[in-house]
Amino acid sequence: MDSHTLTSGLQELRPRLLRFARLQLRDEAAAEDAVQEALLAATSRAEQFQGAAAAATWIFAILKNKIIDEFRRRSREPATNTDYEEALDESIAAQFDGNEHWNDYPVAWSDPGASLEQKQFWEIFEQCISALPDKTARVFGMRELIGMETDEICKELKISSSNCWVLLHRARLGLRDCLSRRWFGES
Amino acid sequence: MLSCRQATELISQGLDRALTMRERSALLVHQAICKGCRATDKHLQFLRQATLAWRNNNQVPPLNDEHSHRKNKD
Repeated sequence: MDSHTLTSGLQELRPRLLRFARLQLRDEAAAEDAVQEALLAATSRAEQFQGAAAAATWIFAILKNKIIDEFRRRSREPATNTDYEEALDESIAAQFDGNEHWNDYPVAWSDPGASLEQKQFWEIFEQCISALPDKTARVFGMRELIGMETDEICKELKISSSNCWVLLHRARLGLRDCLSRRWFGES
Repeated sequence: MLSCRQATELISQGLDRALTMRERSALLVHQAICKGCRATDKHLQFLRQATLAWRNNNQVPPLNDEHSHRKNKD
């Protein structure tokens, strides 16, 4: 692939890369930086790619590593919005009574698959992910958006696997509640 | 007998690792009598489906050999 073809191909890829980085890094400047670095790394190796799909796969892999680097850096810093982590934890605890049974039974969503076809659903979905507290969102993003196994996540963030499962549980129940309230229309 | 909270923890972990036989049967027994946890299981599986769909919509190529657990469930 010559570098001209690649450069124009990369520009088309940019919005996709940014969207991916933004949802996880939750900071426009950090997302821009990560994407820029990934694009630069790709441009310098243009001759290696056999076609656009191979280039895209490769660039996403670089971007993934940039995002993980940033997560690792952040996980070493003093934790951010810890009050919010606790608040989410408490709101989940409040769903259960003293015997850890439901106070109010969660109810099945009607035809959730149809939501995937609706543009507004994706807006709410992204807003719900963005509303998760930082540490919880980080682990959820590594697991579900990047697709890492939990043992890799534990290693990168230096947390125990039980901690990892607690955070994923918190993220999922938090997202479930957000979607229930904001999309599936329960009180 | 699992509490509902413990059941949700296993439902969530079932998306991340292979549950042991013992855990799976405890969860099955619990869900047979608990519609709240059956609904929660569906909700969390939908979340998994939605994050995969989000990635497809944004044409994020598969990055890992991933999500191997519970592939054959349901």
